[in-house]
Amino acid sequence: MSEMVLQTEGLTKYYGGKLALDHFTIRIPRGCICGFVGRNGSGKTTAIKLLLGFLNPTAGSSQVLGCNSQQLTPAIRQRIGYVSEGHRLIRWMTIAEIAKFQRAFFPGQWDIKLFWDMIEYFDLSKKQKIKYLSNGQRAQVSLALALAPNPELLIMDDPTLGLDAAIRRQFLEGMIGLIMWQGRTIFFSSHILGDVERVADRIVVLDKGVVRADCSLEQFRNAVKKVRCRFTGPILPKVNIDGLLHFRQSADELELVLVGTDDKEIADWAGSSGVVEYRAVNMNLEDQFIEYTAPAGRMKLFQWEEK
Amino acid sequence: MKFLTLMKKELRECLPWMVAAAAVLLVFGTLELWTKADPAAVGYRYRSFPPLSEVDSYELIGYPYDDIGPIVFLSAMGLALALGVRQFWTDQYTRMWGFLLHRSTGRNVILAAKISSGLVAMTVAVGFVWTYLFWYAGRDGFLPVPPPARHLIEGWLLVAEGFVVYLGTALAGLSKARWYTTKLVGIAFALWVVVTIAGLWKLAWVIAVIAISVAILLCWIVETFLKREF
Amino acid sequence: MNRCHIVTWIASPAGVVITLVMLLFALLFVQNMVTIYTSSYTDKDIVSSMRIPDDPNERITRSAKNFLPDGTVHLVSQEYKYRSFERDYSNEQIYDVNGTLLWKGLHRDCPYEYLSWAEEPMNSSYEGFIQYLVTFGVELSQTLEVPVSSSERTEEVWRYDPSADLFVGYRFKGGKIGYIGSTGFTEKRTEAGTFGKLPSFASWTNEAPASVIMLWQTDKCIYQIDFAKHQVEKVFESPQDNIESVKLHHWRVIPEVSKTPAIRYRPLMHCATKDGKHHLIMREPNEILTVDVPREWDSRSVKFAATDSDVFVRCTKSDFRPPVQREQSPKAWEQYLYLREYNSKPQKRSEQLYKVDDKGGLELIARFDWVRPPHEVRIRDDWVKAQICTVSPPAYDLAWYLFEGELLRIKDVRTGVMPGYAGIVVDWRPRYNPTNWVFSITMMIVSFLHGWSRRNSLARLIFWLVLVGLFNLAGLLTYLAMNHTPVIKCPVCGKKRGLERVDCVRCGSVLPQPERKKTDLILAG
Repeated sequence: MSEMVLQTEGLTKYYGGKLALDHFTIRIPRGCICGFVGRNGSGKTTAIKLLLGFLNPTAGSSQVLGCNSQQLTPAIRQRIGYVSEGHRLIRWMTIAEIAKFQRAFFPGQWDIKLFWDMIEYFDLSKKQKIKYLSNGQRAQVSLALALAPNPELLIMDDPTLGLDAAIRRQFLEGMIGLIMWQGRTIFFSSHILGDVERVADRIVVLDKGVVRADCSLEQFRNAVKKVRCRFTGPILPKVNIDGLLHFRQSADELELVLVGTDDKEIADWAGSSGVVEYRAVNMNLEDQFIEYTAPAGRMKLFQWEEK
Repeated sequence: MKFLTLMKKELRECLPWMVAAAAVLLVFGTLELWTKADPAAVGYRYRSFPPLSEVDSYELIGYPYDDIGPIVFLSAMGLALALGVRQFWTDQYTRMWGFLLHRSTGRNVILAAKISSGLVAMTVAVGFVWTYLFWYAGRDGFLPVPPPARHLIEGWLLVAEGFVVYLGTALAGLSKARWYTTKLVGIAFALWVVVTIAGLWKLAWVIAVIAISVAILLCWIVETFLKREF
Repeated sequence: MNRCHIVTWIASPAGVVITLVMLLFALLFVQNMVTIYTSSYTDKDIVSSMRIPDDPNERITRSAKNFLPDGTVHLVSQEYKYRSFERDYSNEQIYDVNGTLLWKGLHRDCPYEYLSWAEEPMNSSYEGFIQYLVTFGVELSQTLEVPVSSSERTEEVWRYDPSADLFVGYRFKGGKIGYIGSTGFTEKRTEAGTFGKLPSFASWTNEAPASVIMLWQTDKCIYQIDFAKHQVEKVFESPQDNIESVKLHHWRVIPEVSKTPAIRYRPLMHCATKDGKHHLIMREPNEILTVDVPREWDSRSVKFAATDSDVFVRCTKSDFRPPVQREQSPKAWEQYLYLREYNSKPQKRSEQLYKVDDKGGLELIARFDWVRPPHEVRIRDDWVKAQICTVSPPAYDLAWYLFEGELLRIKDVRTGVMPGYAGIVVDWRPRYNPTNWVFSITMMIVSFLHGWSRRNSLARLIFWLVLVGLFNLAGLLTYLAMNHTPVIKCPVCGKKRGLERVDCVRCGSVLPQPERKKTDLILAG
């Protein structure tokens, strides 16, 4: 059995003439909790659909639990839990009916106690119809349905989309409980970087279909830095430092976003560039992600941004 | 077990349309039969001819019940379109394919469950109701001249035509073609089969045309579904 | 064999064929609409043909050549009336063979009584009537039902069962009466004989209370069925060949003339068989006579009549040799050209009256010869349609070249949908128009330019080019519908390439890796 639960090699997908995913190559080992992030339209959902065999790749290949994604067998699918974007469930069924429906596909594997414990934990009733549940409640049911079969691998496409903070907290606690309890592999995409920061130990950043970062969360957090420098004299027209992603300039201040630059290099550069004072700006993961994926030469949307 | 689970789910989703089609057929079919069994109506149809006159061959054409055929036909077509749209178009627009396809079963099983449930729905809602109406019309003394046995088979062939239209609608729903409305080729083909069949006088030919078109549509649907992206 | 392969082998060609056929129908619809709105043919000759012509030659040509029982020939010109009940009041002129006007007035006042002849029953069924009844359709198949009524109500209904080939009787109040077959009435189905293949039947009613009597004609026999009396009489059985036509004269009890006739006729059934013989079945007294007519007579113009004293036959002769039947000479266009050429010449015609003796021998008693003047055959202006057909598939011309006779034969069939399809090929083919070939070649070039960068295999591309060449615009649309895959610019060679293959069809390079930035954090193992 492969150590790699998810493995892709040069996975490429074109929609018409538009490139959606460009040589997407990742290897996710067993037990990893991987946050899959990117801006809107970066190709996250495309990647997930390719992994699950819903789309045919233009080039490249992918394997899930050792099986080619285009030929996932029923036995392999039984080991994968999937929460789709928007939590699509059969609307006319009650929670009890959908549990019964889902259970039929996991003979001998369905943990009925876990399912009803989770439903109770989320304060839901088995007689409620799916169509009358709110977005958050539907997300909870989706999670319960995905976890009850004890899947080895859990793939979730933006599971907390549209949920309020309280429901999101509950959802994540459920996930954390699962991680701590059973040590499964989780691969999830999200726009809420705070959620990723709470649970993931690995991050994959997708930008315009290309993987720009594939590392541990700690490595990413340590690598992306923002430094604010103050000058007394004129600011050099060119900034020459390794790892420069982009910079912003105001009257006497220069703000640099750096990737992988260590503190010594920053100090050396500051000394040689006439910087009077510099300091590192504290960033959370969301700030780091925004700066990391910001396009070069970004236009200022509002006038007050210049101040 | 998985196939039956999927089929139960599909049948449950088809149920409102089945009930509607069966109700329409039963109500209007019964009304039609009562109207045709009314002595005044029957007497009018079997009118007397004037003495010493020529009788046009068209005056000797018998109509046991004029409009029951169109009622069966429209019920079958309406149900076929409704089921085809419900099972193959709605899942696309509500983005349910992802949930369905990630079942621990092959795509062919999912497709087989959908099509089997469509077939069962049409058989029960239209076929069985038509059989009941035919039996009702053939009861002793209800109509002066009982309907010929051939009509029972013809009614079932109308249901089979509906199944062809159902498959055509399913194919149109699965097709990703966007060029020159070729997405609707499946439905156009099914309607062409319906038109071609009208005008065949040997039932064996009708059965053959329906069987061939069902086989072609099924193969086409299977190939499209197995290779399609969702 | 792999089930998926079987499915693909059926589905792929079926998809192409069905898409092509649907697009051909769509194209035909558009062609039809354009033709209807742009064509401008009108026929100006109808009005003039309804009046009695002034020109003597034209008048002679259009007049009816009627015989008196003594053999005198009169030329009767009648103003044409569309509705039969108006004919009694139409103007009529009667001339003798020398062109002398003998009488004119309203038809109902005509002082002469001419010999009348056996004719086909006006309201008989056509061949295939039973097929028409049992044709499958939305309204379910129909039945042939003969009611038997008393003075007060319908008492019985007799229904024809095509599968058993006999009539089944039902009492109107319910319950089965019995069966009528070739052997007559019986209460047991097993005892009822079948009639045989039915070309046609005719029906009429007898005196009040009127019940239907049916003349049921099969290949070799003619039966007369009286449903009220439950009786079947085999009137005639051909000794050799099949029956071709049946004509009746005073056979049915129908008042066929409106005034007391001066000529007393015997009931006569004229039965022509395919071997060229004419069988006369007469009543009062019963008699059957077989007449051999000369081979050069046009059997369609041979007519018989039987009076109390004599049996007469008349025929029309001409030096016009019609072209052979279509199935023998498949060149329909050449046939049309022949007709047009022949009609442009005068034709010698002759109407002749004979008496028939006891042994079927013929004695000429009167004849009238005249010359039919030439007349022009107008050709419909098909220029517009010819232009519209330039986008029709050359495959239609190919089908015409290979199967012209068969297509024309199918087109003449009265039931089913095949005549319609044959008609599409025959009527909408491009007729070897060079512009059509230019169109086809242009479509092939467009397909080639579209498909070259997208090709997956050369064989497939050639297949599509051939299809487009054969089916012109419909073929191109089919090709585009099934092959309009996206193209991109190859990052290596800069030319268009498809995405069906991993490598570029031009330079063979695969899609290159994305450019790596120094700031990429690809650190995981």
